[in-house]
Amino acid sequence: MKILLYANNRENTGKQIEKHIKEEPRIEIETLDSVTSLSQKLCQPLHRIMVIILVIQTKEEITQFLDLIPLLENIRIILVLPDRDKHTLAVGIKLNPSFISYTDDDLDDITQVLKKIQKITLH
Amino acid sequence: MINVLIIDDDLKICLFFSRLLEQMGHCFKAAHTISQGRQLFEKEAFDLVLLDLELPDGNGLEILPEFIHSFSSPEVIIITGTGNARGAELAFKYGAWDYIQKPFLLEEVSLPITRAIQYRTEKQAAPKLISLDRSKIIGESPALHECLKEVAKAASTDASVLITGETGTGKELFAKAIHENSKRASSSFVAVDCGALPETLVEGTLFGHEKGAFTGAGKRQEGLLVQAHGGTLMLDEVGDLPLAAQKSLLRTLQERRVRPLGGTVEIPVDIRLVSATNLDLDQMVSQKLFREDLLYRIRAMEIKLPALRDRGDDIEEIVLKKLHELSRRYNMETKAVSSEFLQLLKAQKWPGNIRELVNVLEYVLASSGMDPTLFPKHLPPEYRLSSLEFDSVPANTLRMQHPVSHSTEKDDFPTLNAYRTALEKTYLKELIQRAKGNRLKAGELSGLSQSRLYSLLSKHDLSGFSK
Repeated sequence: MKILLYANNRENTGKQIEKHIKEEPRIEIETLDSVTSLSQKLCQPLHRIMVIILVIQTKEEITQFLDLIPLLENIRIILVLPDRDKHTLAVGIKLNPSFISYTDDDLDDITQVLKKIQKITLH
Repeated sequence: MINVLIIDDDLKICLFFSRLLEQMGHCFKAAHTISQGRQLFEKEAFDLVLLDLELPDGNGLEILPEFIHSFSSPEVIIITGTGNARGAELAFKYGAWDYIQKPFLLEEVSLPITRAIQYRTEKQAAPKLISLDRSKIIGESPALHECLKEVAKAASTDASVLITGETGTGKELFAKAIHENSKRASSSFVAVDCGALPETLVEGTLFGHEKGAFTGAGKRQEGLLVQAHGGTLMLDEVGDLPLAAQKSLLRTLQERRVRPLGGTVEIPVDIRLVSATNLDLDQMVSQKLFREDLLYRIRAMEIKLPALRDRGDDIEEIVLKKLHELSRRYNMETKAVSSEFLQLLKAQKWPGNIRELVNVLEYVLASSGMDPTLFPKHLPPEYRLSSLEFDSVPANTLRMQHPVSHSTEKDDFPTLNAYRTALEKTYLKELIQRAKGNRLKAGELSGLSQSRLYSLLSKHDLSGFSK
């Protein structure tokens, strides 16, 4: 299963998630660190990305993704939010994520969701 | 006041109905032939038509569909002197309100007329169906229009809706259309992908949790049900909800309050629920995998989405619009489409429905390069093969049951390609049988991905899975 990881600041959560997922067999991960490079990737035909993990570091960052909504159709999104503020969550929900996590949450949850998606995708 | 059209060539009958309707306080117009009736109907809107069948210029049943499918769509009562079961059956099939045989007594006609008028009056008083903004839903086929009518009905109420349909039919798109056309449109639309959530995370995601509610719950977290307050909650793949979560969801829907995991305080929620599934929930109820009381709650209305193969008329429009959309995304010139290309697409079974079609179009755009027009050669090979009839080589097919080495006649000896294709078909038939129509089981047995299975089934013109 091919997944994309977007993490603007990979020193922190993004780096940890990347390391965590790379331990999973049969999951191919590509990491991008800017909205532009993510957008370019999604504009390539046959990219066959099944899941995108968006690690958001600030409230402002998440609004940039609203413009990408048409490119994210038919791709499952795992959203990692920077805080539990109602407004941040409300904006995040507009991206129609399959799962929402937080930068201070257990990263195992993301792996569990990925495994479940992998299972249903294979069948 | 109700406006009635009487179409009968018998002047006495016309007079009888005129007096009756006058006494009831309704307006009426009378015609004595189909053409006169049609002329009157084109000039003004009628609520009720009293239609004779034996008219000088034809049978009244000929004009019945025109009435029923017109904008005013009046109720129609058939009045006939030569009634028969077939005629009555046809009339009801077309949507007639009642079928009365001459001669009749006053009571025999006044009651159906009163009832039809009562129904019509109630229907007119009911909330008007909204003019639907269909957003990204493409197509004009009758099957799709039936669904859109249901979407409009659903959007004008606050009832729970269950959307069913095969995978890839666009259930989420229809759920969004219901929300966006409803009075809740300005509030949130929150979709929960129940199929992607592991059992351990479902309840926390839906209902939220307090700090320390379970290992790893380091902070208080609000659930998506609360986030959907005032708006619409879509439970995608609702059949995948674990039984424990079903119980909590039922309680929430009944009491309109959410209690987060580990919490003591309940939070009031006002949500409109739209659920979707490609599973047979009635069957799951009988297998005790889905709660009957929850099914009752989530299925006040049901919208069954048609498979793409049942709305073949829409394929051309979908292809053209999606090609345009994808070309813009990939920064390519929009390509022309040959009729052979469209014909081949229309001939497919599309077990993965619109999602599968869009994947094929992506492939086509990538494979066509700078070619300005799309031809069958740009399609993936398995989609081109499906148009060929390999079963028309009986000698080779019969050989499939035996080792190739037993063949002695050169003419009967299959080519490797034909042999492989026939063997593949035999394997798939056996696989469907072994898996008892269950796609999950078939995937496990064969080691094939769902998309590969779909394309192979399509290639060999085999029916899909029942489960």
